[in-house]
Amino acid sequence: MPADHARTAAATHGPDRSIGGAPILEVRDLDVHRGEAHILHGVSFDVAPNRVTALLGRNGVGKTTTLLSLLALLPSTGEVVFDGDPLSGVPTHLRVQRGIAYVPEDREVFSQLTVEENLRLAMSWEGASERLGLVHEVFPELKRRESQKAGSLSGGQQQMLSLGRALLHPAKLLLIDEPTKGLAPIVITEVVDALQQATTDATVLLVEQNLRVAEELATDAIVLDEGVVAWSGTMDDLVADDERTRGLLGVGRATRGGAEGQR
Amino acid sequence: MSLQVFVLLSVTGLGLAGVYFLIASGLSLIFGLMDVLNLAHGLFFTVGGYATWWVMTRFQWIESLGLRFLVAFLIATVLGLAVGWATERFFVRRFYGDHVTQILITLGISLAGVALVGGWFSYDPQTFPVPEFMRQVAVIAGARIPVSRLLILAISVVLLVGLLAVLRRTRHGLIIRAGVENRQMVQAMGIDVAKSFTLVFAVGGGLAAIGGILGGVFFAGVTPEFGLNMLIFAFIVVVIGGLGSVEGTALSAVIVGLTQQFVNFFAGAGVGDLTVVVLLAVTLLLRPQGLLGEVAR
Repeated sequence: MPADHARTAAATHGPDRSIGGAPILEVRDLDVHRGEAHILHGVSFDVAPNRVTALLGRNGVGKTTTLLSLLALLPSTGEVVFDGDPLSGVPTHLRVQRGIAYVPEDREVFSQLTVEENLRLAMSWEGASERLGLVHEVFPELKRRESQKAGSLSGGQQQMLSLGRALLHPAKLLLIDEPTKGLAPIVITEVVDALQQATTDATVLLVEQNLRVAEELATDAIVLDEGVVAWSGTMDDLVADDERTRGLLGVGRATRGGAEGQR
Repeated sequence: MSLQVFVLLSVTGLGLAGVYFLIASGLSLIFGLMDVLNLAHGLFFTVGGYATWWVMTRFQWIESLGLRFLVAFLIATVLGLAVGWATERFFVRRFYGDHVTQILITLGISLAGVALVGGWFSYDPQTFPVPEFMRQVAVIAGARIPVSRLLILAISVVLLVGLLAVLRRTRHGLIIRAGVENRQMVQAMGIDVAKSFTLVFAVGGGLAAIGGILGGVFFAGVTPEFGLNMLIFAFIVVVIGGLGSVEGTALSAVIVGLTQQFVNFFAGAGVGDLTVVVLLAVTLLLRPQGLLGEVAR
């Protein structure tokens, strides 16, 4: 779907969005190639402050690619404006220093470092010591396993570490990529509960394959299809139309108990 | 085998291991952190050896050989740090991610270094006087061990412990260890990993230069190809130990050093070198990530 539609959809979002104020992130005509493949064909969307926006779509549609290019971990063309400043030419570490925190797909904790060392890498942020207390409150397991090597943690614990590491950052925008991927249903519940606790009032762009999880966490939704934004609006609007959801995501409300919607 | 021979071969092998460790540890960190195959690393070693030779033979106004050696040690180390820093800053930095160009550039620096040193000081082996105490022998379990070998071993152990302490206890060390594992994620945590690149190159250069000083003492002289010849064994040590692992490099250096000494003694000169290459092949077949290396992500 053309970028204009997405822009209109984002602009006419309803009363909630206007309360949130100007978008914290504006993405215009994002175009990304990975090797020979043309993944994103001019993606445009906004992310409103203090809300959780889910970035949805079928497998391989370019959700992770979008997050990676927002962080300049992949080369892209187009315009990204974060908190009023264009990010063009800004390298990854400076984008993060300007206030974007990142929880990658597959956790990517430093497996040879201990839990404490993983967190210590993120302790140079202002106010990190106080936030470490909060992180330990939300994820008490991280305190208990402080001296354990991150590589020996379970998938769920690694996810908590990855989230905890990002939460030490005084971020204005949190990019979270598939936090429930590969986790057992009971662990998913735990991670989602923690996420709900941790992301209250935060601005989050969340990639999530599991529609039920996305519905629980997000207020807004952006759906990618064939490398463009196919739909954007509120999460409630998206799931209200079962046929549309099924058309866009391959799953509907009724079938979410299946492979895509396990919780 | 008598106990004396065993002790002598062990200490000599461990001394050689110390020299290998010093050149290989920087090489391993540079490859682990930056994916740079630094073929110029042998030059850092040569710089250390020649700086020592230069000071020991030209600074005759320092009468005490012990003091002169200390001055040589300091100058050689600083020169190694500087050459390592300059190599990253002026050459390698422009070509991160471009492996072919990196190999060509660092090989070029390496060969140019040999030509420069050879042209300047001649291609003949150069020897230098060492302090009196290094020429003495210590008797351990009946074996007469040159004190220089023990000194090489002691300095290498001190530097290994120091390097591990820096890696484990400082923030720079933490960033380097994390970066060896996943450089992208370190950047995605807002850390400018490029600063660590320069630091690792400089420290690698300094360590290799110290290797060159001790190598000059061990082999009783230096030649322009000195570093290039050592680089081959340093690469073998790095691959067997596991890329990016300082502990692995130390362990591998000990294995390679001892194997070379013992096999050369019992099976004839040269067979030890061949055995080391066989060890490399066996490691690559059975444990491609090296003894203490991580499986590539």
